[in-house]
Amino acid sequence: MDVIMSVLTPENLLLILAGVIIGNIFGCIPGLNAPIAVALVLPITFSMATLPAICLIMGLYMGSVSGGLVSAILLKIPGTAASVATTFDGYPMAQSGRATEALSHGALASVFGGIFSSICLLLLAPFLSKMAIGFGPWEYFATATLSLVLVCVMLRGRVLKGFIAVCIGLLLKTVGSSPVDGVATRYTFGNYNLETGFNLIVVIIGVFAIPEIIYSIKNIHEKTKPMPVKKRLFYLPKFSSIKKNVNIMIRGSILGTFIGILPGMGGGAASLISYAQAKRTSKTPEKFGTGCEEGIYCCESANNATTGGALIPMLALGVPGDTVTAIIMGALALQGLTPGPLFSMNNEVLFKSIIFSVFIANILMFLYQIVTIRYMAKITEVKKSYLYPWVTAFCITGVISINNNLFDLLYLIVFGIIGYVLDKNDYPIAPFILSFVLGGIIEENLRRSIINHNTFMGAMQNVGFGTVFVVLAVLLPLFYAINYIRRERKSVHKA
Amino acid sequence: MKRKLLIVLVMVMTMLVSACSSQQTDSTNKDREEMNGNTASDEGSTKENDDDKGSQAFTMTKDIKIVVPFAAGGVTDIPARIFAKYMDKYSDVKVEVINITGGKGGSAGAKEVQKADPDGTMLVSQPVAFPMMHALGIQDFTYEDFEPVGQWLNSTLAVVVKADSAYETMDDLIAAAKADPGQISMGSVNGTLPFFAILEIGAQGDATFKMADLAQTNKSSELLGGRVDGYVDAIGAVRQFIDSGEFRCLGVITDVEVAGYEDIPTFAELGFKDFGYLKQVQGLWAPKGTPKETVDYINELMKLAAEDEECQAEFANLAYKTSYMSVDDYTTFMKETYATFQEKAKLVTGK
Repeated sequence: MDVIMSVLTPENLLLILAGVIIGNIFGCIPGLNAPIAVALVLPITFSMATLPAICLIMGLYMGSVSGGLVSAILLKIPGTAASVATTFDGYPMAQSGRATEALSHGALASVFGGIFSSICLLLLAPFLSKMAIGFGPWEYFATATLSLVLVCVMLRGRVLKGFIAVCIGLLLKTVGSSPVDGVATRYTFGNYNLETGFNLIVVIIGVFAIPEIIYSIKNIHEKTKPMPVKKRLFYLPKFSSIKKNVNIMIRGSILGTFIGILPGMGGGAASLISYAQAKRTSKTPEKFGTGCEEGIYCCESANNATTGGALIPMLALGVPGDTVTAIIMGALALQGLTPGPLFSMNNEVLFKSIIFSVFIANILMFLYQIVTIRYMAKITEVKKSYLYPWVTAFCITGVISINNNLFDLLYLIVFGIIGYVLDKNDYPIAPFILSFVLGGIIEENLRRSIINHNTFMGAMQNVGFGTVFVVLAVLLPLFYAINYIRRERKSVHKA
Repeated sequence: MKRKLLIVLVMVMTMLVSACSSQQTDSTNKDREEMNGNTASDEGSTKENDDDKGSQAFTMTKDIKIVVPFAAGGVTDIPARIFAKYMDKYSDVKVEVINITGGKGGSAGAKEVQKADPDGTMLVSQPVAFPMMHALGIQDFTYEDFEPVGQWLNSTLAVVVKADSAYETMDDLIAAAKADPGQISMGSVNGTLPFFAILEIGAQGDATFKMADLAQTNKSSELLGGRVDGYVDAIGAVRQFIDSGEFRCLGVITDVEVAGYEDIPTFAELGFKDFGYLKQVQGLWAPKGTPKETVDYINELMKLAAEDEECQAEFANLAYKTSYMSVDDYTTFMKETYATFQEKAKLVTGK
């Protein structure tokens, strides 16, 4: 009760709401994302008391993770890796005149995922953090590799192109200094700006936003037909569609929470894997990618569930699950608090208040989103000649604000061209982005496992789910290839 | 409707730009105004130091930005933000931390400062990574390419094993590594100070450890999961596990006992020698050519902040210590540190 009362003061509620709104704006704008939003308010939280500071930060965190869906659905420009998968069905749905519907599905799935994972955090944090301990370098390597393979194999009809996109992504990910030892600098051509490699956010904006801007030039004067938007106070998805998608949301949330717990994997991997998984198990997989509800529910519940997931190892072990939680840990440290095994015992009220503030932040985020949908959806009605110059400006501002480094703009253009070429030739973008998200984890942890077990085969003999995953990652594409050849032969025979 | 939307967009844009450029202010503005209501008037007298005002009379007119070359909220960033707050308290101008990340071991941030105007408005926080990265041949600049200003942070490393480990003391650990060379795995992030610490323990104990590389963020879970036998990290990062009884600390790499952990043997007590370089210290560097008055002025600010009791308390809370050195002492210290790491790097490169 103390917990609830301590969070539910007007001051704290206002701070959460402010956090949610600012976070949402940061999430919507390509290039600005949760880590930037949280890092920017960090100095403000300095002078605040602990709980209000946490309320503000949690509001920002939830708001910005969820805000990404707005630009993903309306403009096909995901602000963060987490909302990449949302573009697949959200954008086609918005294009067919159902923008408000798409946004309301997204908002509902988001709040479901967020609340699901915060309940997991409350009830299962000590237990689930044990799971994180069980993950060593070998298991990280195996999980990340299998994730890449899964996303490719599930791309019906474009599997080979998917693997090619993965390879291009992995190759570009190797630019920079080698992980673990930092001795070799690869493909930097003597430019120190390239030593840390390409920034993921810049890559995402380059690959998604730039081609979209180029396409928009073609029909810049085209007038978009105004959509029939009923003037309602807020929009909720139809009850029947919620009922139909509860299973998908639960599965997405479990997956998201699980992936959120593993440091480094994050919302991008969670939503893409969830999307692939939902497509695989769906009765109507052919509808995916054309603007179906399931496609939005599965990825939005998964990416929001990673927030609670990422907080689990942070609060229980002092191991941050993603970049944002790393900064939140910093903010707590500035308050003189060290998250770790003793945290929930020594600061029980604060521990529960943090979780409760996540809860409230999710609810406020949902309310904010369903109320603003009406205005957000109007963006699609803006004339392209007005809209896209603004989008371009936002993208550029966003990219610069990541590192305060102008060099990032140069390779933004390069990745824009790569994205355009891939898209024009019908190469799937999702595996490309995912290989960028996971490539670093794969390489680092492969090297670490080889150091720990002396050889690769030494690591393979370390029988556990790590080894099983690696074997699966090799066998799955093989099975697919054999199946494909058989089918081809049959059809040749028939002919 | 369209006009309304445009107005909203413009507002968002303005907010965004202001958020990006100002990096937010903090609440100490008020204090500053109270402290020096007079200083705002004598603006414009900075660079005209020709009339020999002396360092006492010297004041800055432009805000001081301390560049932390790593991400916000990290182990380098947090103490820097706390320290900047107290420097700000004693300064006429605003002192704030910005993060410029990138390059190996924070080289992008250092290079930005190297290029900046030498007027004391851009400083880089020097982590211990700089001398190490230079010794390993990864960074191409040294303190000589900057004007060293002073030191401000001191933190101690600790050697930990699991509480149920067979190694009760440092001697047990070294004896085990001697008996079974290369089989006892000690974790650290490659090329960081703990990495050198393990090499030094091995060299002085005549033992060989297996050097396991840990990810920057989840070192503790590797030990909890039993995938390494022990690791070395800042005491501030591991003390929660020592307090919770999950880790056992075999020794702290310092010659004075750590407050609150007096029963943990120090490296001096354990009989180690020449471990003075294994300290996580941080200093400030200004661009080459910064006038002496400016450097002295900032050094004075660092002294005031380091001696501030509240600042010391905040640092102690995170198991850090404030540290102060005069410009000359710090420059000498940098020279020695670079020389020592040059020597120690041979343990790694084997040359």
